[in-house]
Amino acid sequence: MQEDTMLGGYRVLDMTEGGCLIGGQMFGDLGADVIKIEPPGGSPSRNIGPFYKDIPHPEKSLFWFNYSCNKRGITLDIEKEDGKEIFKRLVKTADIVLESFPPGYMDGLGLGYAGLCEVKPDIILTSITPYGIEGPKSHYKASDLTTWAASVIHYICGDPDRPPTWLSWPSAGLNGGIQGVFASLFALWHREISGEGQHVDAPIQPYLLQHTTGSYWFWECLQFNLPRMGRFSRYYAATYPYIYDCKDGYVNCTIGGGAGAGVGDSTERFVKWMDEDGMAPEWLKKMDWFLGYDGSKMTQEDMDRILEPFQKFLLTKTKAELSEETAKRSIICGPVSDARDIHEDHHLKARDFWATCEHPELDDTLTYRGPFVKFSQAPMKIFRRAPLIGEHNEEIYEKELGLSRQELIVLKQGGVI
Amino acid sequence: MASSMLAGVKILDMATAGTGPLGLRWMGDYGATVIKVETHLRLDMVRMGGPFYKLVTHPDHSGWEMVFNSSKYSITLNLNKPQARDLVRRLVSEWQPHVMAESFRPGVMKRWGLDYESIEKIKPDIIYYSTCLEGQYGPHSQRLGFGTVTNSISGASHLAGWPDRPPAGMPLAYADFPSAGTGLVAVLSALIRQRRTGKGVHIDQSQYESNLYVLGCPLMDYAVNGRIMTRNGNRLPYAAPHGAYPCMGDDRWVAIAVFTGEEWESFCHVIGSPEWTGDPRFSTLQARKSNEDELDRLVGEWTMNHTAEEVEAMMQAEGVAAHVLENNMDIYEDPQMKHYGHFREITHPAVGTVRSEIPPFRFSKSTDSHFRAPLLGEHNHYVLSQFLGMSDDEISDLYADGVITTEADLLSRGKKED
Repeated sequence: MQEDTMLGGYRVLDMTEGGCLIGGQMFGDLGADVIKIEPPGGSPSRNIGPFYKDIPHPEKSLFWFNYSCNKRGITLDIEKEDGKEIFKRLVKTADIVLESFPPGYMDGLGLGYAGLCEVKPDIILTSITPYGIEGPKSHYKASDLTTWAASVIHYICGDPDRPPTWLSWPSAGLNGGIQGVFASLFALWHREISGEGQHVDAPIQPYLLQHTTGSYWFWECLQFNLPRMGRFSRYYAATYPYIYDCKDGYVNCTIGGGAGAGVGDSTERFVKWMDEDGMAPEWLKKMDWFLGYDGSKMTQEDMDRILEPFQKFLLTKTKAELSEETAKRSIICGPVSDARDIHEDHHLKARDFWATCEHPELDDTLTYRGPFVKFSQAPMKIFRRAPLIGEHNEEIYEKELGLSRQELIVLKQGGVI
Repeated sequence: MASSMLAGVKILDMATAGTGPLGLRWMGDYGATVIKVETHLRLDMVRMGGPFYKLVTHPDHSGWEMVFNSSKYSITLNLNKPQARDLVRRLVSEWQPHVMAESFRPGVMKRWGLDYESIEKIKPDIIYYSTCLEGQYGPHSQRLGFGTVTNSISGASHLAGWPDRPPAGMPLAYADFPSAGTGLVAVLSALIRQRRTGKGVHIDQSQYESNLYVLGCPLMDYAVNGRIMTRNGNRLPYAAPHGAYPCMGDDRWVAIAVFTGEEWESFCHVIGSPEWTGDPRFSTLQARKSNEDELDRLVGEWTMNHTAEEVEAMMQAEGVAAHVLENNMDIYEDPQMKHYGHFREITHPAVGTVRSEIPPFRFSKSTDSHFRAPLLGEHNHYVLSQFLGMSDDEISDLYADGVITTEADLLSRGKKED
């Protein structure tokens, strides 16, 4: 790629699986040369659905497609001696090795940080693990759900009268993959300055903990163990919804006041809109949303009384109507969207958010989400679709490493590639 | 001693709330110099949202401030005054920050002459990081919101809760964090490119889009298969048992996830192989999925007789993924978190001793130099004299002219918006 990209010229060996695959993809989006290393026969992540037209097949996993763009793919069994040798040859050419194996796995193969340093002294090895590469839980068996549970984010979510609930699209590995990328970039910056590589330890549990918006700080500051409240929130004595019913679904609104943060301004504009429809009682129009509003002193009765006209108004409008008007009027509100709502959002279309990518072997062109940010220069895009199993074995093993076709045939039959 | 990792990297942080500030804070934790431009006239949600130490409602007593703005220097300006905006431009031209960040509604910085185009004229290689709800342009770019709104528009709220009820949603500002992480990736990548090529960039982050990027797959499921993925409690299509089960005690739960036949065998062994585990209704994955309500009920009947900690230990001993659903108190006692020293006791002038947090990621050679969150406007004198070489008289004039805001301004803040 001769195009100007953020990380063009760097090479990443991607040994992640599950949601952590997004890490390798982000490097690829940024222009790095990402080589995804899969076990012979293909990555187990190819068995994760949903699938293209519901055909459960390792070359038709939408999970694989969506988190392995911008990577070339090779197969390699690093547990075999031949595989280790080949891996080390690749490490010599790489800047970053990104992995999400159980702690100790690569060390056991002689391919941990110490082993890789012998091959390339300035290598950056980034280990994404559920709890850390060391410590009392580092050996724990883990999954997206249990890592989520360990991070408080599970406990504080869900309806109070039922068990806590997680985010139904498993996101522990995904978020962990993102941390793997930025932590690697810290190390890459350091290497650019000092010439030194290092081992990056990127555990998911403390990173996911941040996603609670510091709920545990309520314990530190106030000895208050914030409970789950479902679609409600609480301001000291009064509980109030933040997900409201509307005519055809739900919307998320912040209604209230106090000085600063724009909530009072927003609520004032909300009342003005309601008034245009004749749905703002006089007492509501007279409210001072700044100095006259103190959520910390409100009783439940006060809160319910204040919110009632808003709830009535919201029930007269659809998600789409509310989405349009509140955006225009800068009222803190947004629809509770599902995948269809998001695809139909004309704002995303106006920003050319959606990308397409050809899949010749499916004889189809698929729609993908756009990049995670827009750069004014060196923009990110889908340079290539996710690789087929072993798709770049020839390109990398033969053309780059100089292995012969005969050698590849032996390695294939030996289960190395 | 400052961490050497990002020593010399300079960041002008004009962003508020969670997304932009968090990543920049971690850069500060690892040695970058981060100047945060705040104001007494219009408090950042992070300063006024709490939780407030011992209920003292003051911007220096905010727990969230410690999460998002540790390891930074605070100056306080009245950006409505042209002199304040000139000061920002002077910081850019004289201090030469690598990165400038902002999270205002699109148009505000332009009105102030502090947008990317204006700043690029002063410093052509600036990395200008704009982050807001729906991006710098587009029909909804003026939508106002916090992470709670992003949760909903990005599809996360819809995907949280039970299939037979309205969504429970994700709590607080969950969506701020996928944005924070992806935004940090963008800033660091741009920094590396800036050093190599001398080029800058304008980063337009729509927090909505960042979250869509991470969620990704449900969107593809609709585009390709016409299916609208929805919430399903704690279930996963290809594992059972998979859920949060009730344990002994008040509001105690354990998460258990069984994927393979081998793990199922181990699970049965852990719970003492009761008769029901031999029932063909539970012997295969398919069977367990078909009878999942009954399965969850039976598992819950067992877990109810144990503490969550016991279940976790018993399951882990036999290689089954399980973990207590840690609450806000548990996390401080978690042995793994303690091993990493995640909560570090520091002294803060306003609140005394507090358990602050070091970055969640670490390095074999580089150490952090995390320091306490600043008081509001704590570093006005320090920054203006050390970084801009201003004299005491010049600085006094700025106070007199109301260019620098003070505690007295806290009382007069109100509705005047940007």
